[in-house]
Amino acid sequence: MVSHTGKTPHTDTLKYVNCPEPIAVVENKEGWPEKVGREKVEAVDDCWRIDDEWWRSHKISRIYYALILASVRRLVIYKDLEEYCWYRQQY
Amino acid sequence: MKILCILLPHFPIMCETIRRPAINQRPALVFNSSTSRRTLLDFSPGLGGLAPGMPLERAIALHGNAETISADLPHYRDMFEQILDSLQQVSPLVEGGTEGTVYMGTSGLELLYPKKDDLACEVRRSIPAGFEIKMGQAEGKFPAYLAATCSLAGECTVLTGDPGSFLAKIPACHLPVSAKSKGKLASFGLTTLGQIAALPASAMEAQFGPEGKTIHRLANGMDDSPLLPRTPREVITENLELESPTSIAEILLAGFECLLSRTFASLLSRNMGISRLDIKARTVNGESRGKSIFFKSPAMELKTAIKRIGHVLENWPQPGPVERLGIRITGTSFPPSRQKSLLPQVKSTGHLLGEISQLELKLGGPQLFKFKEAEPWSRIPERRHILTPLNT
Repeated sequence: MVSHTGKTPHTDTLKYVNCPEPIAVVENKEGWPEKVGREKVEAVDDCWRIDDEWWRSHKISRIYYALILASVRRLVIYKDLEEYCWYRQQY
Repeated sequence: MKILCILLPHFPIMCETIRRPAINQRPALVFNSSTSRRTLLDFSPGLGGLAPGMPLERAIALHGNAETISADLPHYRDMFEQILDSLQQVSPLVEGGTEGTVYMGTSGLELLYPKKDDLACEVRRSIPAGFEIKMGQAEGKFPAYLAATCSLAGECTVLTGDPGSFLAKIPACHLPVSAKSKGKLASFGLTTLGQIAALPASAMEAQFGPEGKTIHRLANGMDDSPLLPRTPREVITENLELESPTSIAEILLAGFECLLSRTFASLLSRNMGISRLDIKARTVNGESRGKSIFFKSPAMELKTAIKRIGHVLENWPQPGPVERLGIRITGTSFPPSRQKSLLPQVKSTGHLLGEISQLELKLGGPQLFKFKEAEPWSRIPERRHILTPLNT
């Protein structure tokens, strides 16, 4: 039997689900995704922008792209307009 | 791959003729009344000026002496399935397209049917008498279809080598492309496949987009579309004639219960349930309607299947009193498996939580989490759900 350490789980043990993952994206001149990793983007199925929590110090400003890749795979990625980084995320 | 296309022209009218030979003596029109508009489904061979899909009123205006018959779609489907079953005895690779069109893979059958006409004879033997049969054999489905279209009744046209000369004079309306593209082809004056084949593929693509490439390939007799053979399946069919025609849902349900109880006995002895069931009802005025019912997990009890049919009957009004009921079980499967408990010794939640607590203390941190909704309405995906430690 393991003795109790007295520690209690805190709110930092809460885990968010579906967190964004950094991804390498090559942009074209217009700033749209051209390649994701090594795979070419066949078509942009949808595009939308989210601006939220602008009242906080770390505001959220993202442009999402639903892409069809050359392998016919569908992928949702976004560009963080605060950090200018690309992430993949299921939407 | 060598493909044999078997065409059974005027399939619905032929089914009606086989069922009621008297129809053969006068022209007939088969109409579909499943939608609010009554449209022509098929007509006796030799009646001019008619096309499937045209309003029935127009067809009657052209041929006033023709007998009108309400389409019995479930019956036609049954007949077609029976034909496909018989053809599967000739070749295991049989694809049933729309009723009256069959594609059969014939590569390798030369060993079984060495003479030129052996295969065609075997196919003719497999199809019930009364149907007109046209056959065509070629490399690919589309050339085989065209060869069958150009065959005389009972004959088989075999395309060998370059089909270019054969296809050249065939009208472009036979191409399996959108009506818009057909109209565009006509507006360019491209009326035959030969005219299209003579053009460069790039020109067709430039005008028609991706479909242009397909049109050009098909016009040259190249069809890569694969044969999609049907899988042999166990089909159980039961029918019931009602003593007095009725449209009362409770009586119809009792009829279906009677039909199902017969089949359930044999299915349950094999530990099988129903996953797909087609029900049909025919009214006194000859109109037939069918409905397919799919079960998410196979119905292992009569009660489950009947409850589902009861729901279907509530939203399935009949056009008149029903005199004949039928069921067709086209999908049977074993009951879904259930995973055994990972912790068979666990007797209570408290015991389980104690074990989890031990595990977490040993490994130093929460190990098992509960999936919870946090802000399901949020536009930010990662804010919608969270994992919380199980022991909090």
